[in-house]
Amino acid sequence: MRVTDRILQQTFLYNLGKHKVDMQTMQEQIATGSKVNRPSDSPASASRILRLQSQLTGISTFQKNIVGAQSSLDASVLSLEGISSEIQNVLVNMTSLNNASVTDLSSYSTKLEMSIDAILNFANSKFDGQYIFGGTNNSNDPFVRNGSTIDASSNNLSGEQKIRISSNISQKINITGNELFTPTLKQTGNLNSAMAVGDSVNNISKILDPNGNEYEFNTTITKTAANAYTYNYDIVDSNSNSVKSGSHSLSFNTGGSLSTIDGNPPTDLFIQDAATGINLGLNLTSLTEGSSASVIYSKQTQKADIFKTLIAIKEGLANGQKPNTNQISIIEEFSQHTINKTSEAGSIMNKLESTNDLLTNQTIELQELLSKEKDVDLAEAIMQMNNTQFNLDMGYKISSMILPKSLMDFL
Amino acid sequence: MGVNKLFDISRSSLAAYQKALAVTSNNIANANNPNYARQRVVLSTEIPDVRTRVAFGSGVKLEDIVRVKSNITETQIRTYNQSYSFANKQSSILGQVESLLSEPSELGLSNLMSNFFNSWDELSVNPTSVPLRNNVVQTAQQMSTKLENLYSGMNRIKSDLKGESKDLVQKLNGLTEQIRVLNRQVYEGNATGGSSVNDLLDKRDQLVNELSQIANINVSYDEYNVANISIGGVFAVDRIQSTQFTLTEDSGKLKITTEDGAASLTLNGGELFAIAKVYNKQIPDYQKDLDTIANSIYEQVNSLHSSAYSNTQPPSTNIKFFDSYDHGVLKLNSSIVDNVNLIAVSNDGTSGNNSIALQIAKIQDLGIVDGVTISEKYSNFISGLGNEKRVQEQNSQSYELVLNQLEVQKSEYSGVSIDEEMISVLKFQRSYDASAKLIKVADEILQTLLQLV
Repeated sequence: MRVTDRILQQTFLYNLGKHKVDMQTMQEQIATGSKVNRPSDSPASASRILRLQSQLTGISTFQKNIVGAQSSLDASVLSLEGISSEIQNVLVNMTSLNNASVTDLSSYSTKLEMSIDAILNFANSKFDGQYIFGGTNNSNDPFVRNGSTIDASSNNLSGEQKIRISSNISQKINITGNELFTPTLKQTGNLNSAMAVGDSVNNISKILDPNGNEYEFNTTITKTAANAYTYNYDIVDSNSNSVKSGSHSLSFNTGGSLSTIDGNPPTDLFIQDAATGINLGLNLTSLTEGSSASVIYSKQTQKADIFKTLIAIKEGLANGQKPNTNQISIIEEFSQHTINKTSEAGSIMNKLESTNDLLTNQTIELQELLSKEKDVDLAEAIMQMNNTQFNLDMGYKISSMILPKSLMDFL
Repeated sequence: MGVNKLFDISRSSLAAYQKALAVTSNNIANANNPNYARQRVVLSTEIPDVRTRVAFGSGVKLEDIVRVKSNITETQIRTYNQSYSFANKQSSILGQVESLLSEPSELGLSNLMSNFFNSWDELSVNPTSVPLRNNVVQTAQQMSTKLENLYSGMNRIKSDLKGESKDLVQKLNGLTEQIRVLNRQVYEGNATGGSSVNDLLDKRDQLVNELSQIANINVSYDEYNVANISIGGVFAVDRIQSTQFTLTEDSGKLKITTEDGAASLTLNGGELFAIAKVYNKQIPDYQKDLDTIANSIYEQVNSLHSSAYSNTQPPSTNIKFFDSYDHGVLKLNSSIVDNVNLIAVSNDGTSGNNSIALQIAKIQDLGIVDGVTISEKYSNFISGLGNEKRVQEQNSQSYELVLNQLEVQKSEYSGVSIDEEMISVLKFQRSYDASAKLIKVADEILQTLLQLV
């Protein structure tokens, strides 16, 4: 090989350049602590890093949501416990009424009035600008007192507030006003799709009014066409007089579940009768249509409205009349119902807590993965950098030895 | 045959070695000129003096000065020049695009998009909260600003590239014209068989090399060593004429044609090809990817948002969250920016209902862009760009290595070795000394003869 001066220069410069590029890369990695500083450093890692990071921010949002939900649930539990203890007070007072020595019923009426106020207060309590029992209605008080009646300000206290606690799970985080205060009749069961048009199914349940009077709630569901039915109800008092009746049309989808009520997506129906004080939510959303035999079941949370009942008892006491056993049973039912709802709120809190733990674990795992993709092994990087530095020094040294040398030096 | 013959021979050798020394010193002078090919003197005997039966040599002459050059290496260097400058240019342009993205970091679009969707998730916890609503607007603005920056940054790179390719075409025209002039001089030198054209050839080789960095060229030489060059399949230069090229833009694509527009270059190498490829194909593709992502955000968010009710009294519906999306500009509805309560997340008009917020937050988990989620589509886009850049970077490194080796080969063959040249200097100097000595000897002989008279 014929070695010319330019070959020495070229080779030296080329290698010098390469070492400098290596140095620069190692320096950047050590300075940033990251192996991937731009997508082209490692395209596959870059896209994995982006995915991991977006998962991580997603999880941290879910955790933020959970913390927010936990505090609002805390507030719900406090209010529920408040209602529960107030109702216990009422029950104690009602029991002592049975004592024969009690003559001054009006003082009980006053005590009851205070309890009603307290419960109403809890029912209208707010947390972070939202009504705890207002469903999704934040615009006005859920329950309004008008002299001797307390009514829900709107039928829309049933809005469930849901938050996402993972990419696929939405969790309801509120106890709605309807759930807690409105007596609800839930009708489930099946309508046989082979039923002929005109055939019908019946069901009878018992409900009460605030004065403790019993009524029959008669249901008839009649087939009108394929997948379509008419739902008729009739509320009949003990003398077989109809006090309230109504009719709705139901239709089912091919999957057999209820698709519309009166042409709208299914929601709770509300039946109110001012004369008797009957206030009832009707839930039909679980009715199905299928090949099994036609049957309707009914299940009730409470038999009558608690506010109306308490007011009726209070007015009765003011007029020297003790509450009847049906009325006491309404209060006892509500007390049990409140305890049930408190434990429901508690179990939602537990679920949030355990989800939060799970998310924390996921975060740790994801961060470990992210670190594997991204983080520089500093010890290794520094060693490599020293090695490169050594190569560079050697290059300089050799260049200083050979580059200027030629025959000229010896002539 | 007399003593004079000695003078004649010495004179010829003095002249020959003087010229040889001149060539050697020219070599030494150009030792560090990368475009210089070393020159070698060819000495030969003068026409012999033929007497009866015996022929006497009549000295030495400088027959030729030969340029030591390997045409194969030269051709290969040109070929790899085209590939190297293509890959190198591509990698540097894509590097610019890449740095616009600022990925992977918190400032990248990926993170800003996640923040945007997560802000809806956060709003769902308390849909009436004004700070959380402000947060939605803010994250949306950050996302759209980044998107716009990305898009306009790419446009800026494109317009820079257009300017650069205009300069390159001008340079191309200048080079072909210079080559034509040199071709003519080479032709005249060779055809008349007179003057040496070595230095003109060095100069021309250098220009052809420069040309090969700009575009893919094809070079052939005729019997007079005139270079006939075509660029991208179109005739560019011979000894008589050179073609002038011009840059045109046709429906968003750069094209290089002859000045009369009759023929256009078919590029497949060199910097011009790299620029044209990024300008005509890659950046429009990247922008299309961004369009796809932004359009699906625009459509999905708007369709959910306009179905929802705002947090105003009375609640209004059919409000667009984004006004429009056009060429990288995702414009927020300005009335929402003025009044965040117009952000609509309720599906039944009650102020605390959050179901639309949940659905908007869930968009990021749905396969809505060509069957994959927004973030997957985006990270595919990122890794695609990263891959292209990486491939070109590696290509450019490997071509650089090949080029370096070719340059070494070229230097090995054509380069000047000072050692070698110094030896030649000594050699020629000694020969010169000897010739001078010979003249002295001849002179003494002549004087001896004169004293005899």
